[in-house]
Amino acid sequence: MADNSWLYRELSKNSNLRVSRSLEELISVRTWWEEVHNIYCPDHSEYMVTVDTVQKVIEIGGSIISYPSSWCSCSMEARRYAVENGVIVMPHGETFEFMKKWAVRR
Amino acid sequence: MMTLVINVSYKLRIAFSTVTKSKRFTTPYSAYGLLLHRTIEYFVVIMILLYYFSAFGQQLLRFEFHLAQSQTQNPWYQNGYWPLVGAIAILVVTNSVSLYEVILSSRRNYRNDVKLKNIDLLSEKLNSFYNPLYSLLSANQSLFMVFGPRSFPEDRIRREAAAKIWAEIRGNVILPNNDRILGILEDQSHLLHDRDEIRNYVELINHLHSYKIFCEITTEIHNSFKFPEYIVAHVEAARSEVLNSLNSIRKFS
Repeated sequence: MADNSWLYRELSKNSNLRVSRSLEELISVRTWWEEVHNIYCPDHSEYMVTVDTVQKVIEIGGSIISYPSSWCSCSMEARRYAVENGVIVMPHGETFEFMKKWAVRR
Repeated sequence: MMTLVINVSYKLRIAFSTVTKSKRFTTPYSAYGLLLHRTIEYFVVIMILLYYFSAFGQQLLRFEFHLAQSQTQNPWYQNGYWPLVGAIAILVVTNSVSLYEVILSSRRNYRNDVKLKNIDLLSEKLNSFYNPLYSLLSANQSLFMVFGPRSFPEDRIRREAAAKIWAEIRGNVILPNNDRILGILEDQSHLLHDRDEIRNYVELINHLHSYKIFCEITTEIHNSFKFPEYIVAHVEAARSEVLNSLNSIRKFS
């Protein structure tokens, strides 16, 4: 079960972006050129983003994996697999920067 | 005459050793050393006997008649060659007994030396291999269970704190301990117990090397080199075996 409540709160309230929870495990963010990004946030048991995590995210329709760098990391293999399958893997800090730049504000 | 020669040679040996304080003579003879000494003594005795027979042989034959006469007067053991035979028999018996005693004491000393060596070896096995290995492995396993990623709480704030503590423990305790374990396995493997083998530790060595790299480069290859869960129990069992061997040797010595 993804634990994305903190990320959802941060994106919607603090960053003032237009976000929605299309699925329970994903947070949807729309860019200004009408592209929708579904962000997945690993839960506490996923302390390393692996190829399996990326596969799971692809299956549920995610396009971004945003992870907290304080307690989670991403394996080289997962990063490579994600790039090959069009999924972006980045820590929360980079996600905020990316969204502030390209996402539609409220 | 013969006993006199032997006694004189022995006394001379003692006297020489006390005067010169020579270590060679003050140290107890080994069985082979004494055998050589006795052989030389017997050689001297045989030479004297030959001298007897050659110099006085004719005279002995000449006095045969008188000896036969004297046999009627003296007991048998005082006539003819019997005094000589008696002296040789005494010489042989006394020297054989002393030689046997020396061999026995040498064997006893050898066995004691072997026991002491075994005690030293087993103590070194415990002190330099099994004890540090067991304590380091136990400490690392316990730290991993208590502070490792699997123990991170669900609460976000606490999880971040736990992750920070784990990072510190990993850098300051786990990795230095791993280096020490590798050092023990690489440098002290000659102290493995008889029934223990280095191949039992290959998985552990691979894991330790892999984990060191994993801490710098996050990769899933490390999943193939997981910590062998059996290793702590294995080291504990081997340590108990060494301890039992040591106690049994101490008990019977």
